[in-house]
Order: sequence, then structure tokens, then C-alpha cells
Amino acid sequence: MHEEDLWAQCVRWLEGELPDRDVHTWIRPLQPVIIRDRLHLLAPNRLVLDRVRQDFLELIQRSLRANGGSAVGEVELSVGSADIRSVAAEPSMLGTLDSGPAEESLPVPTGKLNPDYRFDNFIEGKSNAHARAAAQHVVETPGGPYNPLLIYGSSGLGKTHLMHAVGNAIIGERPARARVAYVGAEQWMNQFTSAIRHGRMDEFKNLYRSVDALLIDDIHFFAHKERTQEEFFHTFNALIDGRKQIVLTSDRYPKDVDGIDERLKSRFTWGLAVAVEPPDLETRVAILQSKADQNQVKLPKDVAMFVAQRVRSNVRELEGALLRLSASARLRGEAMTVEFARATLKDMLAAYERMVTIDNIKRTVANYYNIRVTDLNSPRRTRSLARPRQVAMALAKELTQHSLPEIGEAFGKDHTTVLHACRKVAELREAEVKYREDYENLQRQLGF
Amino acid sequence: MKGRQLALAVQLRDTASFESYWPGGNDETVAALRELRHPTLLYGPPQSGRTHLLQAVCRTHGGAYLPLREISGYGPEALDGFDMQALLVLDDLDAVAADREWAVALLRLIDRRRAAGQSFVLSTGAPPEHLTLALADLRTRLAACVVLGLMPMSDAERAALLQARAQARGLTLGDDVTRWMLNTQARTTGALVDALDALDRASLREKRRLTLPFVQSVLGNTAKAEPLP
Repeated sequence: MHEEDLWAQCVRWLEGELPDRDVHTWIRPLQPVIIRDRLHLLAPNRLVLDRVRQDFLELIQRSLRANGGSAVGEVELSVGSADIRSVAAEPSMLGTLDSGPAEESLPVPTGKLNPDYRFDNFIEGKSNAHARAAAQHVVETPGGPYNPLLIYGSSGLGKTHLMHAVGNAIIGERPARARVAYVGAEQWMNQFTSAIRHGRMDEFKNLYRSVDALLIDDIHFFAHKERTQEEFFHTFNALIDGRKQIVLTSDRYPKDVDGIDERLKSRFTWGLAVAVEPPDLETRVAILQSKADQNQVKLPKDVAMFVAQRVRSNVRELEGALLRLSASARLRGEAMTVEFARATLKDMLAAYERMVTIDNIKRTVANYYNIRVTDLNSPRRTRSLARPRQVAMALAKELTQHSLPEIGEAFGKDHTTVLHACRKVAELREAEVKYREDYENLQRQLGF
Repeated sequence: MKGRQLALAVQLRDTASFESYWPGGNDETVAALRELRHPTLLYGPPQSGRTHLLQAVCRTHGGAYLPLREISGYGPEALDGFDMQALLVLDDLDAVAADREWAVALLRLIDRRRAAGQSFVLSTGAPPEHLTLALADLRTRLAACVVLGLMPMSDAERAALLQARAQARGLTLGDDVTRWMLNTQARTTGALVDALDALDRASLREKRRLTLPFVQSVLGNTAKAEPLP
């Protein structure tokens, strides 16, 4: 039997023996490989390995015996991944560091370029036209005047999209030969420290100094890491001298990042530092339409306008809002109209707004009846205090998940008092318009 | 003692599936999780059944589940090596995301999964704009997900849930008992189901029906009851 089939059978067997949570957390992530006739289970990391060894190994051995796997003997556990092939098969990625068991190699190296981030689906507007033009120029003349290219601005405005687009385009021009490394600043730092620890600095240096383009995301993460900055300074110089392209992103203009060496700051702006700003309304509408097309969602113009007017801060939120609208429309079988969008976007937050606390109720009720919050807790029984107290208790029962004893405690009373209050308020609401209105006003003020 | 253990051994296990989740007003959220077309963020207060739904997601779509609150002490290295999983489910993201190292690790994990076209489901106690996160970049990445919220239930829905869950275990829960439970016990879904578990065991052990006096005798002194194994 193939090891994957054998293991799949064992997992099914284990599902009958263990709670779902244990299966989903500790058993599912294990990958089977047969090495010299023995079954090895590869755990994603040390945490899973230790836990499986401690709590589940015996049961796993039993599952093997029960499923005809006796031939593969005792199970071996180690940390690793069975998918070395797929990493090495990526021509553009620097996968060489990633092969072999985790303990012998440097930690996971360069990230994957996102193939969805391309120039052809980058929506241009006044806010980002300059950055886009610069990025395209870099693709046409890598290592030219815009070196390094530094794109800066707040989160969710398209910095990473442009950086990946540069990487994808460079590889697209020379698919067989271009060596593009894309990595987050903190990942670069982790690899550097790991290389020192394992005595593999030569390998590390060779790797990063032999690329055609180095793309580093979020260089503000270098702040206060002196040794990393020092090493990066050398890598930087080597690449610039070799006319290799560097693209960097940062959440602000480098001069404004605390804890970065002045020499590095000045080098970051040697080429071109270009800002991306929040998109204007017209651009937001265009972004929504483009995302809708990508996801095969029919988005009427007036709905796009409605959403773009309300979601202003960044592109990712626009995407989230669109996905949510299209999911709701599909699941409810409703047409995407402005009315529908209004109701759905309100719903997106409604569940949170309904997480009302007793304190919140007390404040709202005290305010409504023009008394102090402490009056609600006081033992005084005058009607002017007792009624608001009863109303607050009834609201707490209706709008929170607290038990009656807990609600009682919050008002310094026991749960029978709460029960009495709830009945009294229900009676009053039935009998008198004034109480009904008060109660409904309070519900509304609390977001219902 | 022996009798108690025996009762546990034959107890029916409530599997965490979509079928055994009581949707209350959350039909659409459940439907969206069932089809799971896009990276998704599910938020809801503690004990609102988030973990149940996430287990159902794993069961249906074959994902791996990481309880971040439980493994937080291990550090962000706990996220390493899961890139092979076609679907990754991260529960209680807000339990770690105020820590900078965790936030950076989560950010990269999300970017890697998006780049590789791999799905993920995250859960938090509140929507992205109300979370305490160490990085603004993480907030925008969360906001790019399909954001789904779990509505708390009304008392009528809680009563219906209790009775349906009881029935699934072959127990009958009268209206008087249900009302008493809602008036005296914690009213979160998790707590109510825990109370039902206790009743299930006690009823099996004592061979008694769930009458009000019996239920009161079992739940009235839960503090003295033996802890679950």
C-alpha cells in the first residue's frame, strides 16, 4: 500500500478514537513518507513533534497495526516537510536553502511572489500614478537610475502589489535566468542570525549578492537591529555596485523611521523614494470594479459608488467589503442593490455592536434617566431609582449572555430580584406606552 | 468512582459539525463557512460557538486547526511548517496578535497563503477595527477577508438549542427545566452545553429522568461536582 493511502486509513481510524480537536491540531499536519521501508511522520515543527511523541505516538502505532501497516515497523517522528520537490521546482525562487531537513538548513528563505499582483491589474489613480510609473521604469531598466526604488506609505495602499508586480515582470521578461529574491525585512534578519549561528555566512552572502533583483518588504522592521543593518549595508552596496535592482517598501519616509542607521537611511533614498497615498473616490470605484471582475462578481455602478464612499481608508478593506457583499447576495439569493449593500455593511458591524456589556447598559440607562451609575447599585428603593434599576436589569438579561446570578451581582442583588425586575418591566411595557417607549429607546441607544 | 467512569465511557460524543451547530440568527455565517470561497475571519464573543464552527470547517474542508491561545507560550515558531496544509484554521488570533513578533509572523503567513492560493480561516473576539494588534499592516490584512460575525442568541433561541441538543442525546428537557436553567445558569452556548453534559452523565449514572428537582440537585451544587477528566 502507498504510504499516503495507509496514513489516510490510519487518520480515519484515529478520528474514531480521538476528539476532533486533537485530530485537527496534532494528527492532520503530519505527513507520511517511507524511508528504507519505515514509515516516517514529518511534523511541521518542534511543538507538534513533541506533543505527538508525548500523547499520540502509542495510539498511532496501534492505528498502523489495525490498518495492516505492520510491515512498516515502528513509526519514526521528525520535523520536516515532504514537499521538497515543489519548492525546488520554482525556477524563480531561491529554493536551494529550503531543501533538506529543517535542522540542517537555514530557516525558510525567500517568500513567494504573489502571481495575482501584476501591473495589468494595478488600478492607477492620482494617489499612486507616480509610484506605478517608477516601478514600471525599474522593470524596463533594472539597476538603472531608480536604484533602489523605495515605495512608502500606510498599510493597504498597494506598496506590496507594486513590489510583487516588479518581481513578476522581471521574471516574465527572462523566465529562465532571472533570479529574484523577495523577502520580508524580519525574515532577512532571521536568516542572517541563523546563518551566523550555523556558521553559514558565506552561503548567506552568496545567496543575496548573486540575485538580479532583491525585493525587501517593510524595511522599517530593521529598526534597532544594528548587526542586521550592518550586514544589509554590505549586501546593499554589493548589489548597487553590481547594478542589480533593489526594491524596498516602508510604512513611512526612511528619514522618519527611528532606529535606522543614518548611512542606511541616506542610501535608501539614493535612487527614488516615492509615496503611495490613499486612493481618491474615483480610484476606489475603479478598484472595486476591478476586484469584482477578478472574482466574477457583477457589481452595479451605483453600488460600487456607495461602497467606495463609505470605505475610504485602504484597498484591502474595499476588497473585504466587496467579498462580503457578494457572499451575502449569493447566499440570500438577492440582487446587489444600494439598499442591499447598506443593510449588509451595517450587518457586518451589527454583531459586534450587539456585544453589549452590563457596564455599558448601566451607563446608558443612568444617562437616559438622568441619574448616576452608582445610584443603580445603591440599596435605596425610591421609585425614581428602582424603576431605572429594574429596566437596566431587564436589558441586561435580554441583551447580554450573563446569567441571572451574575446580573444580580453586578447590581448588588440576588438573582430572584433580577427575575422580579424582568417580570415587572414586562408588565409595565404591556400596560403603559411610556414604559414601552423608554425601553425601546434604550434598546436603540444600545445598538438594537 | 467506577460508576462515573462507566457513565463517561458510553456517553455519546457531540461531534463538532455544521449539522450539530445551532445557527440561531447566524444562518448566513454558517452557509458562508460551509462553502468557504475566500479567506475568512469569524468573530464572536467567548462561548458563542466559534470553536465549534471552526472544528466543523476542518471536518468539512479538511483543514488543520491551531488554537493560538493555547499555544501562545510556544512563540510564533508554532506557525512554522504549516505551508503544506491546503487549509489552515487559526483560532483566537487576538490572543497573540498584540505581540509584535506574533503579529509579524501572522502577517507573513497570511501573505504566503494568499500568494500560494491557499485558504485560511481566522477567528477573533471582535471585528478587525476593534482589535488590539501590534501592526497596522495586520489589521488591513484581516479586513481583506470575508468578515463574518456571530450574533448572540435570544433566550427563545437558547431554549430551542438546549432542547434540541438534549433530544439529540435521547434526553427530554421540559419547558420548566429549560426555563430554570436559563434563569440560574450561565447563558452562553458553551456553558449551557456543559450543563447539559453534566445532566447527561448524572441521568445515566442515577438512571433518572430530567425532572426539575433532579436537575436542581445536579446543577444546584455544580461547585461540588467532580471536575471533568
